[in-house]
Order: sequence, then structure tokens, then C-alpha cells
Amino acid sequence: MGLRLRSSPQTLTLLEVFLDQPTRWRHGYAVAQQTRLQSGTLYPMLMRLAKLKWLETRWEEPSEVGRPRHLYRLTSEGREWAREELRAARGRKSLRFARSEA
Amino acid sequence: MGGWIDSAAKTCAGSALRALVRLWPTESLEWGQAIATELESVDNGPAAVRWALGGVVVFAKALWKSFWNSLRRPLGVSRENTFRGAFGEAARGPRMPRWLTALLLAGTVVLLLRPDARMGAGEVLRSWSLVHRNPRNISGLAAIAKRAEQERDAATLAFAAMELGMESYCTGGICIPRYGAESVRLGEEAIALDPSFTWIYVNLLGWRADRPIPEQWVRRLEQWDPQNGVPHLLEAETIAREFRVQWKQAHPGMNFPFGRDGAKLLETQPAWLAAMGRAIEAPRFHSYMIRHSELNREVMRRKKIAKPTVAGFALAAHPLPQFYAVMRYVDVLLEQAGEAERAGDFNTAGDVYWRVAHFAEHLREQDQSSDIQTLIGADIQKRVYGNLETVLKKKGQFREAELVSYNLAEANRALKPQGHPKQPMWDAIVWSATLVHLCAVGIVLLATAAVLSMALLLSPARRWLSPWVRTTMCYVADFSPVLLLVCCGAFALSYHPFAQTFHRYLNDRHEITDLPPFMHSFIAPFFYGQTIIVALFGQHVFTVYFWWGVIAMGALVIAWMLIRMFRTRAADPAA
Repeated sequence: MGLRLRSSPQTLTLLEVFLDQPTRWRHGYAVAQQTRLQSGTLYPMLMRLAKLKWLETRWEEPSEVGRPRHLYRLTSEGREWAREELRAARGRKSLRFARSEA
Repeated sequence: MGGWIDSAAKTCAGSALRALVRLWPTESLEWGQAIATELESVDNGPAAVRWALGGVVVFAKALWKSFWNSLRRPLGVSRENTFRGAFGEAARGPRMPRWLTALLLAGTVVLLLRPDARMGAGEVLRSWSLVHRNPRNISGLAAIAKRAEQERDAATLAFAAMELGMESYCTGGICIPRYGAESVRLGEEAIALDPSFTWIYVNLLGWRADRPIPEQWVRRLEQWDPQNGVPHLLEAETIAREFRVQWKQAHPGMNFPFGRDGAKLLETQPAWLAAMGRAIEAPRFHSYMIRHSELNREVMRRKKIAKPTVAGFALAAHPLPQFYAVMRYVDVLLEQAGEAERAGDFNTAGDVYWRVAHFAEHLREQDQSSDIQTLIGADIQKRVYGNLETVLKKKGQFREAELVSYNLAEANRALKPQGHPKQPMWDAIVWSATLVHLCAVGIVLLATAAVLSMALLLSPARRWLSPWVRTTMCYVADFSPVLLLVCCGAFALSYHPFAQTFHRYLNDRHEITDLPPFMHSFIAPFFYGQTIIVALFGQHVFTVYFWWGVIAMGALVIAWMLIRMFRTRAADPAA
């Protein structure tokens, strides 16, 4: 398909946020605040994760307070992939640290 | 203070995002709406502006992606619609992906934008739209002339003098030169700057019977080029005109007789006979057509005037000497020689015949810029060599008589139309010019078909069409871009020889003396275009504009449909 997600520092930060209370639904602005990512960076990543079926999305139930907002959380597959990615990233980091110590 | 700024910034950011959502591509509209609704939760004005700017970035990416995805679908098939959904019971839907259609159309545009193709298109359009107008019209010529005056550029001034003021007296694409005061002023200025342009007087006079010939022009021409017979011929013409006016005054209500009778009257004028004698005795007989051509080549090359019709019609309209007067004077000489021959004075008869024969040789051999001059030279040779051969034999000069006999046979060959060595080339030029115009007609028709079919496929109106019309539209939309590209390729190829001939004409380092092939090559695409357009659509000047109007309308409809395609109402996400 050609659709890929690069394990950039921004992606890893995003995954860390989603893996903290993984079943919880989050709003886009809240995620942006936690990750310190701009909307122009955050949403393309969310769109790609959703396309890969690693992120599930839904609209809030209509309420009296404001308009319904979009909600996100990782799917079970997405969580598995995210943990794997974070583990690999940490491994790469410790390897680099060990090399620099040596 | 800070409160209202925050509020204003949030309002602006909100308006901008709502506007974006209206334009957001359908396939990712949900994300646009998500960004827009999140804005309500943003704490402060600057953050709202940053959020909205991020939304613009996401929108741009979504738009780009949507565009690329749409290229894979055929025209008229949206992301949601399958072929059946879009075209109902039509037997066939469009199959060519948009990227391929776009590629073919881009190829067509690239082919048409090539300099040679642009020149060809310009010539074809000039031919189609200027049935009653001047084909030598050069846009911005007045400005070129003005600049030449400032730069004291004699060549450009001479060129402008001959090209300006040509807009009158044109019919069916043929324009008879009629120069105004501005042309004469520029011409005088050019000659004052560089006397080697004195020959342009001949052009400015135009050899027309209804125009007076300024005596000072004739004198200056004779002084500048005394070895040439043409200025003397001009002087003879001045005398003849004056005599004709006097004769008409003496014979009210009568026209001056034509042909031999007119010549008989002129024979009584010693001044006319003397001037004609000088014209025929002159060692050269040049009509200045080659000088005219060389001047045009230089100026058109320098000023980047890529219009073969301008060059062609300048040569075609170059004023040739009054060959009618020449033929009448030759009649006079041949009669004198005949009388001497009958009286047994073979020496006098031979001398006169030789004078005429030498003049005919000058006409044929010294200046081959015009076919007419060459043919008249051959005709005079035919008339004189037979008599000369007889006189030479009577004088016992058999070797000379044999040589004259050979020359007579050669002149007869030159006068046979079927025997013209350039005939195959004329035929090739005619067929090539016809092909150029057929391709151009094909381009116009196919472009119209392509634009209309595409507009219909993109329009909701397609649902109102009957199934077979929709099927036909699908075929046309699929095949017309391919055929259009092929037609443009054929147009570029068929015009290529004409363009190359024109480039060769402009850029040849040597003087070009054999002008008729160039002249035919430059004019043929103009004339044959008129023939085709008149045959197809009748002699209506605005026919071509009708077709361009149809194409422009179709293009507007397509643009409107494309805008509509990307416009999506910002529906309530919860709905």
C-alpha cells in the first residue's frame, strides 16, 4: 500500500501519550497539549494511524455544552505495535548510550 | 484589552477553519471537522491562531492527496460512485484514468507550445480569420518604426516604410500596396540615413497607374543606380503617363488605346523612345526584389518577426517593372528590324535583334527573383531568336546561327508549363499546406469534442441524457485526447518543413536569389487555409471565433465543475 509511519521522536511521544491509560478516549487538543505538537503535525499522524487501523475514532455524543468533538484511542493492534515501537526505540537509545560510554 | 484580542483572534481562526471545512475534500472531511470543532476548546487567541494555521497545513495536504487520488479515477466517476452509479444504464463508462487524460492533454499543449508549432498555429489562424484583412499586418510595427527613428536604424526604417500603410485595398487576401504619407516619411528618412536604400522608392511608387510618380524620385534612382534598366523604365512610364493624360485631354470621352495601337501612339514620343532605349541598353535589369528580400530577412531576424506570411506577401507584392511597356517597346524594335530585313539591310536588322536578345538574356539570367520576369525574358527570346537565326544565316554566320537555334530551343523548353522543373516542388507545397490545415481543423474539432464530452461527464446534466448519448460521450472523452495528441503531432510534423524553410530563409548567410520557392512556401499555408475554411464553413470572417467560443465555454464549464467537485458543505459532524 505504501502507507508507512516513521518512528520519529514526535510519533514516539504520541504513542507514549496514547499508551498512558490506553483505553481512554482523548480529544485532539488534549493530545496536542500533552505531546506539545502543532495541529499541522499531529493530525496527519492521527490520520495515518487511523488509516492503518491502529487508531480508532468516534464523535462524542451530542450534548448541550458545545459541539460534539472527535475522540481517539489506539486499537488493540495499535497498542501492540506502539509498545513494540517504544521498546525498539528504547533499545536503540540504550545501545547508543552504551556506545558513547565505551 | 487582552480579552477582546483573544476573542477576535479566536473568531478569525474559527471563521478560517469553517471556510476550509466547506472546501475540504470529502474523503477526509471528518478530519477537517475534527480540527474545526477542537478550536472551541483552545484556551487563548494565539493558540487558536496556531491551531488554525495547523489546520491550513492539514487542509493543503488533504487537498493534494485528494487530487492525486482523483487522477486514478476516470472523468465523471467520483470516489463514492462506481461506474453504474454514475452512468446508470449506459453501456460503457469512461475508462481512461484522469492522469492519463491530463498527460495526453499536457502533451498536446507542449506540442502546440513549441516555437514552430506556435508559428504554424499563428499562420493558420491568420489564414482562417483574415479572409478580408491584410496578411502582412505586424503588431507593434509603429512602435518598431518609432524606435528605429530614435536609434537611426535605416534598415528597420526602410522595412517599416514598406510594411506600414498596407491595410487598405485588400481583397481575398491579396493586398495591393498603397503607401501613405507616414510610409513615405519613413522611407525618406531611411534613404537620408543610408542612400543604399534608395531602391525603396520603387516599392513606395508601387508601379500603379493611378499614382503619380514624383520626378525627383526617378532622378535620384537613375543617379543612384544608372547601370540598371529599371529606373529608366520608370522614367519612360512617367513620360507615357503624361502623354496619356495629354491625349485624353485632346480626345475627350475616349480611352487611351491598349496594345499595339497604344504603342503606335507612344512611338511618336522621342522622349519615351529614348528612355525605353536606355532601359533596354542598360547592362543590368534588376527589380530590387532580392534587395527587398535581403532587407526583410535582416530586419525580421533582428526584430524576431516570425511571420512567414509577412515575408511571403512582401515578396509577392514587390512591384515588378512595367513589362507591358517593355513588350510594346520590343514590338517596336522587332518591327524596325523586320523592315530593315525586308529592305535587305541585314546588318541593321541583326544589330536590333541582338539588342533585344541581350535584353531578354538580362531579364532571364541576371535576376531570377521573379518567375514572371524569367518567363517574359524567355518569351522575348522565343520571338527574337527565330528572326535572328534567319538574318545570321543570310549573313553567312552559320555557327552563330546554330548557337541562336540552340538558345531558341532552350527558351521554348522554359515556356512549357509541364516542363517546369519546379513543378513537383509546387505540388508538394500545396499538399503539405492542405495537410497543415486539415490537421488544424482536426485539432479544433477534437478539442471541441474533448471539452464538451468532459464537461458533460463532470456535469450533473449527464443524468438527463439518454443512455446512448452517455455512452457516446464516454467514448469521445476516452478517445478524443489520444486523437487530439495525434492530430497535434501530425500538425507539428506537417508544418515542420514550412517552419524549416522560413528559418533557412531568415538565417542563410548567403544572399538568396532564387526567391519563388520561398515565396510559395510562405504563402501556400495562408491561401490553402482560406480555401479549406471557405469550403467548410462558408466565407464568414467570424467562423473561427465561433469555435474558439465553444471551446472557451466548455473550459469554463469544466473549471466550474472542478470547483464544485471540491466544495463540500460543512455538515454538522454529529448529523
